[in-house]
Amino acid sequence: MKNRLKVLRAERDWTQADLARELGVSRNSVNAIENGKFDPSLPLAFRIARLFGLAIEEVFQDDHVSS
Amino acid sequence: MGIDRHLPFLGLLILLPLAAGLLVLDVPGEPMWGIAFTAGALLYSGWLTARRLRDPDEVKSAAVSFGVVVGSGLGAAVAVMVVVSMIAVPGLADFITQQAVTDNGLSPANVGFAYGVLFTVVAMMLGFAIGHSGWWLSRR
Repeated sequence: MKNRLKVLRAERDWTQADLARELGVSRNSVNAIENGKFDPSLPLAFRIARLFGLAIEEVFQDDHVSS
Repeated sequence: MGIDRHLPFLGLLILLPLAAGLLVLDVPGEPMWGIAFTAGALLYSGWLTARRLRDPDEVKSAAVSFGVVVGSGLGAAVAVMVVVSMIAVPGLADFITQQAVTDNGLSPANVGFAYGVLFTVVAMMLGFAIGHSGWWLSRR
Protein backbone atom coordinates (compact mmCIF):
# COMPACT_ATOMS: atom_id res chain seq x y z
CA MET A 1 0.00 0.00 0.00
CA LYS A 2 1.34 3.39 -1.00
CA ASN A 3 1.39 6.24 1.46
CA ARG A 4 2.43 9.87 1.78
CA LEU A 5 4.19 9.51 5.12
CA LYS A 6 7.56 10.72 3.84
CA VAL A 7 6.04 13.85 2.32
CA LEU A 8 3.87 14.60 5.36
CA ARG A 9 6.84 14.07 7.66
CA ALA A 10 9.04 16.39 5.57
CA GLU A 11 6.36 19.10 5.63
CA ARG A 12 6.60 19.13 9.40
CA ASP A 13 10.38 18.76 9.39
CA TRP A 14 10.15 15.53 11.39
CA THR A 15 12.70 12.78 11.33
CA GLN A 16 11.62 9.15 11.32
CA ALA A 17 12.63 9.03 14.97
CA ASP A 18 10.33 12.00 15.74
CA LEU A 19 7.40 10.30 14.04
CA ALA A 20 8.20 7.01 15.78
CA ARG A 21 8.16 8.75 19.15
CA GLU A 22 4.79 10.36 18.39
CA LEU A 23 3.30 7.03 17.39
CA GLY A 24 4.94 4.99 20.14
CA VAL A 25 6.71 2.65 17.73
CA SER A 26 10.33 2.12 16.74
CA ARG A 27 12.14 4.04 13.98
CA ASN A 28 12.55 0.77 12.06
CA SER A 29 8.78 0.34 12.14
CA VAL A 30 8.22 3.82 10.70
CA ASN A 31 10.78 3.06 7.99
CA ALA A 32 9.01 -0.19 7.07
CA ILE A 33 5.60 1.50 6.86
CA GLU A 34 6.94 4.52 4.96
CA ASN A 35 8.59 2.35 2.31
CA GLY A 36 5.44 0.29 1.84
CA LYS A 37 7.14 -2.83 3.22
CA PHE A 38 4.57 -3.22 6.00
CA ASP A 39 0.88 -2.30 5.94
CA PRO A 40 -0.19 -0.91 9.33
CA SER A 41 -3.27 -2.22 11.09
CA LEU A 42 -6.41 -0.11 11.00
CA PRO A 43 -5.93 1.32 14.52
CA LEU A 44 -2.35 2.34 13.72
CA ALA A 45 -3.38 3.78 10.33
CA PHE A 46 -6.07 5.85 12.05
CA ARG A 47 -3.54 7.03 14.67
CA ILE A 48 -1.18 8.12 11.90
CA ALA A 49 -3.95 9.95 10.04
CA ARG A 50 -5.13 11.65 13.26
CA LEU A 51 -1.54 12.71 14.01
CA PHE A 52 -1.35 14.55 10.69
CA GLY A 53 -4.90 15.87 10.97
CA LEU A 54 -5.95 14.13 7.76
CA ALA A 55 -8.43 11.51 6.64
CA ILE A 56 -6.98 8.04 6.36
CA GLU A 57 -7.45 8.06 2.56
CA GLU A 58 -5.31 11.18 2.33
CA VAL A 59 -2.40 9.34 3.94
CA PHE A 60 -2.74 5.80 2.55
CA GLN A 61 -3.63 4.87 -1.01
CA ASP A 62 -5.01 1.49 -1.94
CA ASP A 63 -2.92 0.01 -4.78
CA HIS A 64 -6.03 -1.33 -6.55
CA VAL A 65 -7.73 2.08 -6.66
CA SER A 66 -4.66 3.96 -7.90
CA SER A 67 -3.76 1.43 -10.66
CA MET B 1 10.59 1.36 27.04
CA GLY B 2 14.30 1.83 27.76
CA ILE B 3 14.79 -1.30 29.91
CA ASP B 4 12.67 -3.34 27.51
CA ARG B 5 15.20 -2.89 24.73
CA HIS B 6 18.01 -4.15 26.94
CA LEU B 7 16.24 -7.18 28.46
CA PRO B 8 17.81 -9.71 26.05
CA PHE B 9 21.30 -8.34 26.75
CA LEU B 10 20.69 -8.28 30.50
CA GLY B 11 19.65 -11.90 30.25
CA LEU B 12 22.82 -12.77 28.36
CA LEU B 13 24.92 -10.89 30.93
CA ILE B 14 23.48 -13.15 33.63
CA LEU B 15 23.13 -16.44 31.74
CA LEU B 16 26.46 -16.56 29.88
CA PRO B 17 28.66 -16.33 33.00
CA LEU B 18 26.43 -18.92 34.72
CA ALA B 19 26.79 -21.25 31.74
CA ALA B 20 30.56 -20.69 31.64
CA GLY B 21 30.78 -21.40 35.38
CA LEU B 22 28.84 -24.65 35.04
CA LEU B 23 31.05 -25.80 32.16
CA VAL B 24 34.40 -24.79 33.63
CA LEU B 25 33.99 -25.24 37.38
CA ASP B 26 33.52 -28.54 39.16
CA VAL B 27 30.22 -27.70 40.82
CA PRO B 28 28.78 -30.18 43.35
CA GLY B 29 25.47 -31.58 42.11
CA GLU B 30 26.27 -30.36 38.60
CA PRO B 31 23.55 -32.27 36.71
CA MET B 32 20.81 -30.71 38.84
CA TRP B 33 22.34 -27.26 38.48
CA GLY B 34 22.53 -27.83 34.74
CA ILE B 35 18.86 -28.76 34.62
CA ALA B 36 17.95 -25.76 36.76
CA PHE B 37 20.00 -23.46 34.54
CA THR B 38 18.43 -24.84 31.34
CA ALA B 39 14.94 -24.55 32.78
CA GLY B 40 15.66 -20.98 33.91
CA ALA B 41 17.07 -20.01 30.53
CA LEU B 42 14.09 -21.52 28.70
CA LEU B 43 11.61 -19.78 31.01
CA TYR B 44 13.39 -16.47 30.54
CA SER B 45 13.45 -16.74 26.75
CA GLY B 46 9.80 -17.85 26.73
CA TRP B 47 8.81 -14.87 28.88
CA LEU B 48 10.84 -12.52 26.66
CA THR B 49 9.23 -13.93 23.49
CA ALA B 50 5.71 -13.63 24.94
CA ARG B 51 6.47 -10.05 25.93
CA ARG B 52 7.68 -9.22 22.44
CA LEU B 53 4.64 -10.87 20.85
CA ARG B 54 2.44 -8.51 22.91
CA ASP B 55 4.55 -5.47 21.96
CA PRO B 56 2.33 -2.49 21.14
CA ASP B 57 4.68 -1.86 18.22
CA GLU B 58 2.89 -4.15 15.75
CA VAL B 59 5.77 -4.18 13.25
CA LYS B 60 8.17 -5.54 15.87
CA SER B 61 5.51 -7.98 17.03
CA ALA B 62 5.03 -9.24 13.45
CA ALA B 63 8.78 -9.82 13.14
CA VAL B 64 8.84 -11.83 16.38
CA SER B 65 5.79 -13.88 15.27
CA PHE B 66 7.51 -14.75 12.02
CA GLY B 67 10.70 -15.67 13.87
CA VAL B 68 8.77 -17.97 16.22
CA VAL B 69 7.06 -19.70 13.29
CA VAL B 70 10.33 -20.24 11.40
CA GLY B 71 12.20 -21.20 14.56
CA SER B 72 9.62 -23.76 15.66
CA GLY B 73 9.32 -25.29 12.20
CA LEU B 74 13.03 -25.29 11.48
CA GLY B 75 13.99 -26.51 14.94
CA ALA B 76 11.56 -29.40 14.87
CA ALA B 77 12.54 -30.32 11.29
CA VAL B 78 16.28 -30.27 12.04
CA ALA B 79 15.78 -32.32 15.21
CA VAL B 80 13.80 -34.96 13.28
CA MET B 81 16.46 -35.00 10.54
CA VAL B 82 19.20 -35.60 13.09
CA VAL B 83 17.26 -38.46 14.68
CA VAL B 84 16.71 -40.02 11.25
CA SER B 85 20.42 -39.53 10.49
CA MET B 86 21.34 -41.29 13.73
CA ILE B 87 19.37 -44.30 12.54
CA ALA B 88 20.49 -44.18 8.92
CA VAL B 89 24.17 -43.25 9.20
CA PRO B 90 26.28 -46.15 10.52
CA GLY B 91 28.38 -45.26 13.56
CA LEU B 92 26.74 -41.88 14.21
CA ALA B 93 24.58 -43.17 17.04
CA ASP B 94 27.61 -44.87 18.65
CA PHE B 95 29.65 -41.68 18.36
CA ILE B 96 26.95 -39.65 20.08
CA THR B 97 26.53 -42.32 22.76
CA GLN B 98 30.28 -42.16 23.46
CA GLN B 99 29.99 -38.41 23.99
CA ALA B 100 27.10 -39.01 26.38
CA VAL B 101 29.06 -41.34 28.67
CA THR B 102 29.95 -39.41 31.77
CA ASP B 103 31.36 -40.17 35.21
CA ASN B 104 28.76 -38.22 37.20
CA GLY B 105 26.37 -41.12 37.65
CA LEU B 106 23.88 -40.21 34.93
CA SER B 107 22.98 -42.90 32.44
CA PRO B 108 23.91 -42.33 28.76
CA ALA B 109 20.20 -42.41 27.95
CA ASN B 110 19.50 -39.49 30.29
CA VAL B 111 22.46 -37.52 29.03
CA GLY B 112 21.52 -38.33 25.43
CA PHE B 113 17.99 -37.10 26.05
CA ALA B 114 19.33 -33.89 27.55
CA TYR B 115 21.61 -33.42 24.54
CA GLY B 116 18.63 -33.97 22.27
CA VAL B 117 16.58 -31.33 24.05
CA LEU B 118 19.51 -28.92 24.05
CA PHE B 119 20.15 -29.49 20.35
CA THR B 120 16.50 -28.91 19.47
CA VAL B 121 16.41 -25.71 21.52
CA VAL B 122 19.58 -24.42 19.84
CA ALA B 123 18.16 -25.30 16.39
CA MET B 124 14.96 -23.43 17.24
CA MET B 125 16.92 -20.41 18.45
CA LEU B 126 18.95 -20.37 15.23
CA GLY B 127 15.73 -20.69 13.24
CA PHE B 128 14.24 -17.78 15.17
CA ALA B 129 17.34 -15.65 14.53
CA ILE B 130 17.23 -16.47 10.80
CA GLY B 131 13.47 -15.84 10.53
CA HIS B 132 13.53 -12.63 12.59
CA SER B 133 16.53 -11.18 10.75
CA GLY B 134 15.19 -12.27 7.37
CA TRP B 135 11.85 -10.57 8.10
CA TRP B 136 13.53 -7.25 8.81
CA LEU B 137 15.95 -7.56 5.87
CA SER B 138 13.03 -8.17 3.49
CA ARG B 139 11.47 -4.91 4.65
CA ARG B 140 14.43 -2.67 4.03
